[in-house]
Amino acid sequence: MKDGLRIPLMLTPALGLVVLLFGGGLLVGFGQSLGYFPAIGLHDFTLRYYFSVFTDKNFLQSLWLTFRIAAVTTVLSSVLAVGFTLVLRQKFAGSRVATFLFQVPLPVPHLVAASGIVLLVTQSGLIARFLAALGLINVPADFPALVFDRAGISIVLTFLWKEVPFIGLVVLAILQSVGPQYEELARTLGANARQRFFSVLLPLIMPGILSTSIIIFAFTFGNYEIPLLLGVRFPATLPVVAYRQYQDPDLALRPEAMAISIILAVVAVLLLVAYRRLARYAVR
Amino acid sequence: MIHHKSGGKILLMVIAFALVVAACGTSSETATTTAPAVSQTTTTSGGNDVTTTAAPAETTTAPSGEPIDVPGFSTWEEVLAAADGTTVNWFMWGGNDKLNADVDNDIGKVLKERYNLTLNRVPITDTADAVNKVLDEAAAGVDTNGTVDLIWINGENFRTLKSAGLLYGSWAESLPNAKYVPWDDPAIANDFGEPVDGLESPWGHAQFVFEYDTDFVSEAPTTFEKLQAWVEANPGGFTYPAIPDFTGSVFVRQVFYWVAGGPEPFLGAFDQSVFDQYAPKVWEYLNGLEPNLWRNGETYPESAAMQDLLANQEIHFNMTYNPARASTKIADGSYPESIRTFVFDTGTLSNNNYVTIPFNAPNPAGAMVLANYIISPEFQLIMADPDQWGWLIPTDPTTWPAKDQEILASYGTGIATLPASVLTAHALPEPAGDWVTAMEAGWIKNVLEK
Repeated sequence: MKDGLRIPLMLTPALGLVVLLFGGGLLVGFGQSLGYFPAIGLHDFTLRYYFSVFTDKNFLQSLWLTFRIAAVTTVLSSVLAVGFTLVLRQKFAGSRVATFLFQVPLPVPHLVAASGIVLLVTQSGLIARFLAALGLINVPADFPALVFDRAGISIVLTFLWKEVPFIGLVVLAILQSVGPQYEELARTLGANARQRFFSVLLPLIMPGILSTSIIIFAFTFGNYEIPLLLGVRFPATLPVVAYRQYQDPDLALRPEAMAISIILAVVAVLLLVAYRRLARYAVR
Repeated sequence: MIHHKSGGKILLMVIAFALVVAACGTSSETATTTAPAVSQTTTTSGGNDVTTTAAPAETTTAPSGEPIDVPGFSTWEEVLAAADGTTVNWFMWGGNDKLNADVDNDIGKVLKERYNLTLNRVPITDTADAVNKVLDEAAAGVDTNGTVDLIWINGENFRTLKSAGLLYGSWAESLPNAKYVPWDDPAIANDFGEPVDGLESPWGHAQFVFEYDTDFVSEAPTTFEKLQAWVEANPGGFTYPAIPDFTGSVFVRQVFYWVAGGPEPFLGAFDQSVFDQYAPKVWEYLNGLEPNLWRNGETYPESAAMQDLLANQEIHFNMTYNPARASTKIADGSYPESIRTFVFDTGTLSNNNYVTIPFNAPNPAGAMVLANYIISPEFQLIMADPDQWGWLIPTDPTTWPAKDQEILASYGTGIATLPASVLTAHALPEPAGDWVTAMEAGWIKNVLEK
């Protein structure tokens, strides 16, 4: 009973800050999305901004692009991370160096990663110039367009570079704490490598993969700076669209920008809830 | 499983907390419902506060100096006294390292030495950031002592703040150095067709020019027909920045002028039928260019990225509002020597940069001291010097002291910069603000999203 009250009380300062600052901003944004924006003389609550957003085919296109980038990033980075950790947990010459290199991207800010990708893989970038100097392509501009492309290849590349080590770190930690005995036991019982992976290892690391990939999905879905730097001007991901609307000198566009932001938040929350349910099911 | 229960409890607490916050939030929101009206009056009452504190000094010591017509102050000496020992927060575009250093050295140091005024340059990526700050403060009821003293502003955002009643008041024509500004010139008295009304003060002049790489383009295509022919013959070498980038926007305006045979149809109030008469031809021209643009027109770059694309010789044209930029960039090594500039035979757009003071500026006196310094002949000479800033200037040099006029006359022209006479002869006025909005929205709908 005492503990029951003590824990929430101890959490109050941190939660209060989150609720007050984040919740306050969310509330003001929600109000503006409903057309309540006294600073420019709007006082009536209405749903028409949501209506106009949802009937805009450009919005739906952006929503699909945003979802696709987040989904592809989440699945690919989970699969790659598991692959890497299976190799990295083994002891081999230089395995410590390899593990260190694997984790280098972790502290690098996303903005820096995006700039690096630009310098490296644009049509006038380092790789293109190198290939041209070697005579493999005629001029740097012959290099395939991987940045500012409609499919968002460079966006996914940047996310992968950052997020694979993130999942990898968690999975590697689980593997190290679990140790090899379960697998050895399975081996003595006659399980082959495939069975050992799917029946023993995967269930062990699944909770770690799921919890990190939830974070990654939510992060990539709402990320603004990388799609802004590396994406095409149109179609853009939803956070970029919302920010552009917000920046427009025409204040009348503000409620729509807020409506997009709120939809973004709601979609992210809904997807996460669905994903969590799936995850619980998968772990069982 | 136990965790789940306490998790539920915490969630309940959070919801309760959120409800309380929501209740507080709405009540404070209703309090600010009247903000627009209040903000108008506080502008003057806030100013009056300063007057009342300064008034006794006026009556007892009988200050020297001409009276000035500025909210909150009756003489320039009062402004200087109020600015003494304070800090002025200047929100300005911070995307150019050289410009940032120049502002700190050529403006910040002088203000400190001469007026004991500290310049706090606040770098922003877009003028809208500063406008949003002021707007948010107005919405939150911060009617005095906001955070922004001075904004380097453009026509569209100026109109936004002016129409929302969020500017400090009429001060610009009362600055001691305002006598060097040709306020009678419609190009100065109007910012994209919006009357300035003394609410902002000029600080730079701009004219649109094209930069091109003579290694790849033997002869500058100085008409839209020639440009089209060049683009078709050299796919991938040309592009322009995507709107809302202001450089991309001016390129589109330029096409409108060409289609209409001049700027005249777009200078007055917006007229939908006139717009509909010319717009289809503009979209037709631009969509005709699209397949042969950089990246097959699949995307349009930002103007900052275009400088790198040109320097990397990935594209062979760039465009800018700063006619001297190419010379500066060749001098500092970031452009190849082969870059030159040109203007279209049909002329190019020119406009003025301004600075403005928001209604809740904590230090309007400091802002005015700054605004006054940057239109002095002393600073305008630094601004006009091709070896220093290399900008076009908004003041009228014929009103300067004779010795300053001589210094100005002694300046040479940068290697890639067109002579002032050529620029002046080709200068065209900007269209009124509503036209720009319509052109930009039209481009996004008919070219970008097509």
